[in-house]
Amino acid sequence: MSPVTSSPAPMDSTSDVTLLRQVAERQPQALGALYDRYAATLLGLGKRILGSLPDAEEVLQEVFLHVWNHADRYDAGRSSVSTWLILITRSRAIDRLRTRKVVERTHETSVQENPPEDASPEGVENVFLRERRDRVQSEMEKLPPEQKQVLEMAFYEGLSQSEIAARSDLPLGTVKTRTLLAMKKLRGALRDEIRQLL
Amino acid sequence: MNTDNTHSDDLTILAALEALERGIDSPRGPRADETTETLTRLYTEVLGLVPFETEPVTPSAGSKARLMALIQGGETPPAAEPAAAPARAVAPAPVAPLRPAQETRAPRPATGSYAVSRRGSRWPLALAAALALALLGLSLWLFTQVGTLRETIARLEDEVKTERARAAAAEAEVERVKSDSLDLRQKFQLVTSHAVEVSPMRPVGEAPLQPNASGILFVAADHQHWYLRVRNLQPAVQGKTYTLWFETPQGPVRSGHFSGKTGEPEDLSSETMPVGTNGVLVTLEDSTDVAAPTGPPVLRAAAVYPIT
Repeated sequence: MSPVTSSPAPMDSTSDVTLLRQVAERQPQALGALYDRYAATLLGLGKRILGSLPDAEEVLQEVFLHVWNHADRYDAGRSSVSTWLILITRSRAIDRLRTRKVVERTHETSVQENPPEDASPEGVENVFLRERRDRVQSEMEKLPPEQKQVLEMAFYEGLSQSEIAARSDLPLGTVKTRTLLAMKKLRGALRDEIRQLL
Repeated sequence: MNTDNTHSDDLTILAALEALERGIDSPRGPRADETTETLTRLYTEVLGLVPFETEPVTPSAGSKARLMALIQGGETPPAAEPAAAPARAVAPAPVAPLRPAQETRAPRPATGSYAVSRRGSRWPLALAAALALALLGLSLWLFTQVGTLRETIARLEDEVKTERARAAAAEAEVERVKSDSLDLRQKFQLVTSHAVEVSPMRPVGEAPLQPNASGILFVAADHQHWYLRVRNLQPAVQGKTYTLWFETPQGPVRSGHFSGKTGEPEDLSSETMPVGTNGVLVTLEDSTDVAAPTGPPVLRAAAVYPIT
């Protein structure tokens, strides 16, 4: 995938915040708009963590019900709406992973091989999100494998640094160093993305 | 990049990763300096971008519809709070600023919290209210039913009393009829017995008190059983009564009373007759307690027969 060098069109983050405020005001259509915008991303994340599409679908429903019921908990000072949704989804999925002891996990390659199912109402993913995805994938691919691995273990498996060290049979310091390096590289490489989310 | 910045970065990254485990909605810790806050925000967004490396998966066709139906149908069960993650013995990494704290920052504008009323999930309250209303309605219905049943029971009790009274009256009537029947049978036997003696009774005097009245006395052979029938006797005025006397050598013996009913015969009977009765007299008295005739005679046996 060729790296995208040009600056992407600015994400209308205000619209995300506005939508969430409308959700807090109990406007269902606002929740529907957020769903159309992020459901595919969140579902992909859920499936990546749980390795099961049905489980991921349930988590997706839980997440949006949580958003509907607790939109007022969103703190714009802590994260963007996109990150808020993603981290909620991650938490729910990790909790379910730990609770249900999902054993079989599909690897990233099998996830990528699974074709999308019924088309979303929007048909094609939001262009801006598509561009963001392209850049993130590009930068993640540039990470050294060992750094990418510890980052993904922390994010997708919910492992602590110590648990990663134990599983990887690595010193804790090494795990921390690799994690820190990965995070810093991504922070630098995705500066534009981050700036738009702030 | 100086060491201080690197160290600050590292601490912030580690803190962000730990915060990841606590959840984005977890309560914020004490505010740090602006640099740390900014770095924390930066690395939080980095974490939020990581999943974009994963290919999106389009939700199933009915997924959104189910979600919208849930929230629009009012059935918005509060999304189950995530199960408490297994406790981790992770102490929050102290994010100590390496540079002197900046001057006091102006209060952060309240953009993160929404001053909207949380209505939360309403369906449990609605369900509870519906159940409460249903129970109240059922209670009221039962109460009215109880009242109706009590009225019915009271009415039925009255009817039972009435019917019992009727039954008692009927029994009394039956007894009376039996008695009358017996009496009639006895009278018939008396009247038709072989040795019965008959004594007609006629008004007394040249200007009788009751010129149209008449009577007939039947006496059985035993001279004890007797039966008297009087006809056309005018009703006695109020306070007065017709009294029957059997005359004996010892004097008249009061043997019965009657008031006189217009058009209806009066009957008197008994199983006993004073010994030595030699006459029968009916007088009009002022009371029923007189010991001897004091009022005017009304009827007397036409002939004095030796009937004892």
